[in-house]
Amino acid sequence: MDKNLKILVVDDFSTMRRIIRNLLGELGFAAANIQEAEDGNGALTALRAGGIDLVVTDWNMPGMSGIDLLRAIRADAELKSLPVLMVTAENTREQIIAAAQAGVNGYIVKPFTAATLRDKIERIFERLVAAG
Amino acid sequence: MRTTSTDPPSLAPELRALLETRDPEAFEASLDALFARRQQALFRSLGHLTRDLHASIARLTRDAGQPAASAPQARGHLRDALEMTANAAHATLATAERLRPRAAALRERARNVSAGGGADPGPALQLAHHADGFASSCLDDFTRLIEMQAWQDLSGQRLQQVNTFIDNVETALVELARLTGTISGAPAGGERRAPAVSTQDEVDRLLSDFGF
Repeated sequence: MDKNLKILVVDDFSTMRRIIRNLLGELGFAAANIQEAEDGNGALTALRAGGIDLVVTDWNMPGMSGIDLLRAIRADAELKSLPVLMVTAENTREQIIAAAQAGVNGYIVKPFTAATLRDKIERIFERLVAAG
Repeated sequence: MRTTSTDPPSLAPELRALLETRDPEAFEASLDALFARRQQALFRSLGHLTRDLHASIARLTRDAGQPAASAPQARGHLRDALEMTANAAHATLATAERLRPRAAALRERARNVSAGGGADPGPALQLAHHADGFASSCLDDFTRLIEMQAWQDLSGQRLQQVNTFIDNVETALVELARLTGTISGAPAGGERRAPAVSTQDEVDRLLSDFGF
């Protein structure tokens, strides 16, 4: 896995952003390559500035939610192929299926471990490589 | 469709007696008496429902509006709990962030000493000095981590107060829903949340159907 990936962490809770940032650091990702946004609107602004390789987003956020951010990404010609990993406490079958249908690349339910985060990120990029 | 019969077994005795009356005036008098009895029962039931409804509304108003504006208090408690959990999480993360680079540096020194074969006692003594300092920091931080867990007790108390408030309001609302449902004939029931998929394994199994 490329440890130089530029990752955008989107969550309205600063503690959760910090936890994900720390776990990504533990997995070997450089702190300087990790950006943060508080909701979908802030995330879209950061994404349109360019340079992001992976989005790790919460679902339930004020402003623009994670599922709306995912749909906005898939609807944007420049961003549509960007991998999105959902990390959320939302865990109903309907929500998980909705995320899959909207084109999510991975789905993690909170609370989670660094091992789960690594596994899902690895699998996302393995599938992307396999898909060519 | 209801079946008809000249002498249905379920016919009330008072109705059967009324149908068997041959005198028109007596029939009318019996019919009036029957309606009067039925009306009295209906009015008694309506009276009970009205009193219950009034009591429920009174309880809801009392629980939601008192004592000293419970709803704003509940919001305040939730804000406190949110703030405490955030502070505790930040303090815990800060501890980990502070100790991690020091642990990494100590490991690096230990590996260098091991690689040197121990011929020179100087690096080993330096390592022992650094290990001592690191262990002291760890002990201090472990104490702080234990102290910080007080947030759970404090926020738990506030959440318990909010829980009690919600219980009171819910009881009153359920009673109101039951009573209004009884009056309108509509069943009293809430919207059900979709079933949750609780573990990461269950999420993975569900997503495997979508090619994940």
